[in-house]
Amino acid sequence: MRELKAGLGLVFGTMAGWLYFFLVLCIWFLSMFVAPYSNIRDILETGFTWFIIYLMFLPAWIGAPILGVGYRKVLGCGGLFCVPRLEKGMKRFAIISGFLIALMSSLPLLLTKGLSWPERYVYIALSFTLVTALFFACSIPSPSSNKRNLVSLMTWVLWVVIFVRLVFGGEAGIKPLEGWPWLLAAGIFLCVIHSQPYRDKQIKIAHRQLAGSSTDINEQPQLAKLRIASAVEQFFIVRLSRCSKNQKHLWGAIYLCLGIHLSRWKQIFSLALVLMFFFGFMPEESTGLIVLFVMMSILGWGQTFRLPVHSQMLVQGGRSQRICGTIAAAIGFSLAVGLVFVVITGVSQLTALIIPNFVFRGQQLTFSPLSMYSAYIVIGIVPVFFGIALYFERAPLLTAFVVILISIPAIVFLPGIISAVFGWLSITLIVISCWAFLIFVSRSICREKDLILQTDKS
Amino acid sequence: MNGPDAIVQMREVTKQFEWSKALDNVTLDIQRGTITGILGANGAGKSTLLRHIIGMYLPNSGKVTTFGCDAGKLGPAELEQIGYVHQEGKLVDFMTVGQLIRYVKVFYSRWNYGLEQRFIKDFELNLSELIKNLSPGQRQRLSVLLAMCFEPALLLLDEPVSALDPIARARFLDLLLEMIQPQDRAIVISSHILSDIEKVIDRVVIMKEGKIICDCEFDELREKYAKIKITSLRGELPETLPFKQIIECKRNGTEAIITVMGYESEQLLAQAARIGCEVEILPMTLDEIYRVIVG
Repeated sequence: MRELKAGLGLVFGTMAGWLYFFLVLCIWFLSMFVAPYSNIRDILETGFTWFIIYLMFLPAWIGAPILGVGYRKVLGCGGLFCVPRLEKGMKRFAIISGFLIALMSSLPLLLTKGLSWPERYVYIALSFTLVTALFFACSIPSPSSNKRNLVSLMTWVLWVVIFVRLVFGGEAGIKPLEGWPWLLAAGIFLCVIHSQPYRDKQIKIAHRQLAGSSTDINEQPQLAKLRIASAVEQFFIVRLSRCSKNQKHLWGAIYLCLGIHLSRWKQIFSLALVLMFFFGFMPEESTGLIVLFVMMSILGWGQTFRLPVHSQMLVQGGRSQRICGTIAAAIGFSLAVGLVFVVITGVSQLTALIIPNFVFRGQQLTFSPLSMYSAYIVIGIVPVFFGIALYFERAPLLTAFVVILISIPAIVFLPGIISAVFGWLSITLIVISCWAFLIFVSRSICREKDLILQTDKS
Repeated sequence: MNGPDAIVQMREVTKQFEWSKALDNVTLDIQRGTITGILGANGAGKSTLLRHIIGMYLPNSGKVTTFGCDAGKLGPAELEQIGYVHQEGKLVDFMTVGQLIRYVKVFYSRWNYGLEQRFIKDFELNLSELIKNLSPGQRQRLSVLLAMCFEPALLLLDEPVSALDPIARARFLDLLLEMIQPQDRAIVISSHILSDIEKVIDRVVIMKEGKIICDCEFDELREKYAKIKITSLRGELPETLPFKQIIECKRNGTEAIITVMGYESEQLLAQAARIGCEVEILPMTLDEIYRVIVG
């Protein structure tokens, strides 16, 4: 037990660690408090299906990556990964925590109104299973394979869907509309865990470097996927060579922030197309979901952001240049993501003309084209995320948490704002405020703070 | 060690972090044409000092001026003259070695292509290798290349050789000596591997708990401290040795090795002759001097 205590001391010895758990508990208590007053039928019928996901999954969503990162932090720590029994103790701790979190996340469903008892059992089982799947996919490192976490999660989700259909079937099973939250949840979780394999790799590499051996050749092909394409490099290097001295840091910042994403534009567009169909069949009030999804995607991509503020490379310029570089990178990124949305929205408008309505298990499904508002919203979301990421540079988990917290009011209020009379005006004001927030944060950090963080060790 | 020709001027700089005082009233000048070694234990404030010079850290009090400009307000014109190798070796992971070199190169008008090729060959860098996959030593080699190829007027090296193998270290130190030949440049190097840097430095700054406890020319320091082997020619050595300012003494019957500070050779020889001993003055390494000073 002492080994486990020593290991956990590293994770939970910080104020931030306790803050996360305090917040998780607060959200859980809130869920328990809200549940008796929530009618699940009303929630589903009004299209606010995301609310249920939030209610049940937020504790796991936050708790699992915290434990996962902590777990990796302990096992990846040079002096600790070889301590006898530590790994076993940490695994046991993770399993117990996962079970408790899944149980806690399912409990609000006991109190929710509008469910008959067989249905309630199904929902509780679904919730428990999905949270468990999420938790382990997020928290348990997979040293043997990158795909293991993804496969295990997919298997869990499929198992739940098949099991429920076989055992309960018919009315008690998952109706198409009611199935959306679970599929959506799975999609979001896949995005969240998408970033995990790279962390595993880092631990593997750290272990091998500590052991004095070179990088394993077998992992080269997988890591090699994440690199800047020659055409993208050529484009930026030409721009950098031709522009004036004062503009170099702007182009440099855009290159570092966007280069890797532009190199993967085909994958990004393919994913966006799949999501277009997904969101197309969502209820009309699903703008909040898009916001949530974009938030989480940006969060997932956050690992590859290279904002110039805290860079130790002097080519990023002095403090003033770093403010401009950050704004330029954020503008470049917003425009790129906005462009993806505009294209996908355009494609969805065309697709809506072609796709007929169809009936699936008694439910009429209609494909709704995406609104241009989505692209506009993205332009507002990006600076907020960048600002938060900058402010909590030393605590990426806190960044994730704050982003999630901010997305809640965004999801609740944005659909109303968009449909209001002065929708465009309100959105414009929100977007301007978001950019002002980024300028304020980057300016205050660059002018008043130390730009190399004391915890920079990688 | 202050002077008007200084590239860097630090005046009464204090830096307080949350838990500790990293710099305590530090005053230091870095002159052109010098290689300054900054020595100190872990947490002595060496990296903090270097980061103040490039304006990445802001002091709580005091002033740091680099190239005549407030370090916190350095712009591209000043930064173009500064090369910095940081101890963490943090680079752009998703670029290849070649991509990063090409990226950094475009920022400098004076990029030395010949030097770049020499580094690539000597340091055995694979241009198509992804930086994410590089070992700490390879990252450090690449950092050194990126910081030196534009021939900066001020080169700041924060633990640059800690992850290099002996051959790479030797090549790197040779390059440093070549680089300093034009007298308008200055190099500041912080390192724990004192046996290496003593070959190149001409000035020593020793730090302890955020304070500079020694700042002088290396030759001056070497003249100040000496290790002396005393051999008695008439049996056992006397109980008390008559030499002044003995810092350390190890004796064994007829022989003793003493470490002294501020000695004069002639006086030492005369004193030894009076007690019937012969002396041999042994030069002290930087490592030995450092241990004596820091205690």
